[in-house]
Amino acid sequence: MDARTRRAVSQWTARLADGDRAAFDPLFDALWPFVRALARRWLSDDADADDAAQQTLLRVFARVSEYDPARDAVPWIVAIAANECRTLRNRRLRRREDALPDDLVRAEASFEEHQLEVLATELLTELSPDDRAALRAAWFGDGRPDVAPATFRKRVQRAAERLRALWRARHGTP
Amino acid sequence: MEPREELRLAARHAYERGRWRHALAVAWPALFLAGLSLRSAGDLVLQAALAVTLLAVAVGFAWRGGPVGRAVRPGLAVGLIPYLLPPLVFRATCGTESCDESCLVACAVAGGAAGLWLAWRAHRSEAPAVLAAGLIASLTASLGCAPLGLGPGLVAVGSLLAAALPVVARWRRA
Repeated sequence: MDARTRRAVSQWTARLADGDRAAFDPLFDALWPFVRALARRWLSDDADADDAAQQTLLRVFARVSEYDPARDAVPWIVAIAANECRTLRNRRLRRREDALPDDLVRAEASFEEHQLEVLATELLTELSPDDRAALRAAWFGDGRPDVAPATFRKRVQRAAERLRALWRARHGTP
Repeated sequence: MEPREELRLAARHAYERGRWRHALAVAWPALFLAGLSLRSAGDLVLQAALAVTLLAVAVGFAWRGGPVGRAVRPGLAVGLIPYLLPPLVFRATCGTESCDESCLVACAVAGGAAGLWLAWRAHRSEAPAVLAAGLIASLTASLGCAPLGLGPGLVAVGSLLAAALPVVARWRRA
């Protein structure tokens, strides 16, 4: 979404939150292709993605009166979309787990764990060298720095917070 | 109907349901004040009519949104002075010779004070917001004084308007 459309979406969302019904149609027309594209990026199945996109749109409009106009609307909408996609995906997974044999469920769980590791490793490369070193030392006992334990704990805590913030920005709230 | 238009209609309904929830969240103090006033002695039919009117106006304005929606809470706040003060005076002077006169004076003074506060807020607000706040404040004021009689109720509202209108008119002309 380009900057101009993003600003327009924020303005329409704020107007709709204030009760200006004239902003409904332009906001709907701008959001539908956007949330649909997001959902198709996150979910492998097109039908599931369309379901999630529809639920996202309904939830956005149901909650828009609570929206704080001081905030940028697009991250708020993206967070709702991520939540709907996650809910749909988990629901599908639970149904499939009930139907699938145990070894297939375990293989799928281990694949998902591997996917998460790949995503987390990608994000680690975006941290500063000091943060990376702190986390490596904490998780793998690899090259622990010669500092007081309290200082080391603080460094690890800050590095973990920065990693969580990167994850939220990239993949939404878990 | 095309699927996208069905979704648009569903989103519109979701939005309006959200607006009603928002309206109740904004106007709940009116429900509280109306309920409290019905427990007082006096003409129950008159108080019930005023309570229902206040509720309908507060919820309706909050649902509508815009300037009138934003005026609901300020209007209720302004109306609290004539809502609270006269019953306190009544309790203090009840059974004495000066009961009726004191209550009438209390309604007039409280209404006037509320009117001045409304006028002070009015110079920063649009005309529809001022009128909406004035209407809600008048209804709240009348709820406070109506248990003492129709006369005190009218005095409270009259004082409120008498204090507010000249000041508002002068500011608008300036």
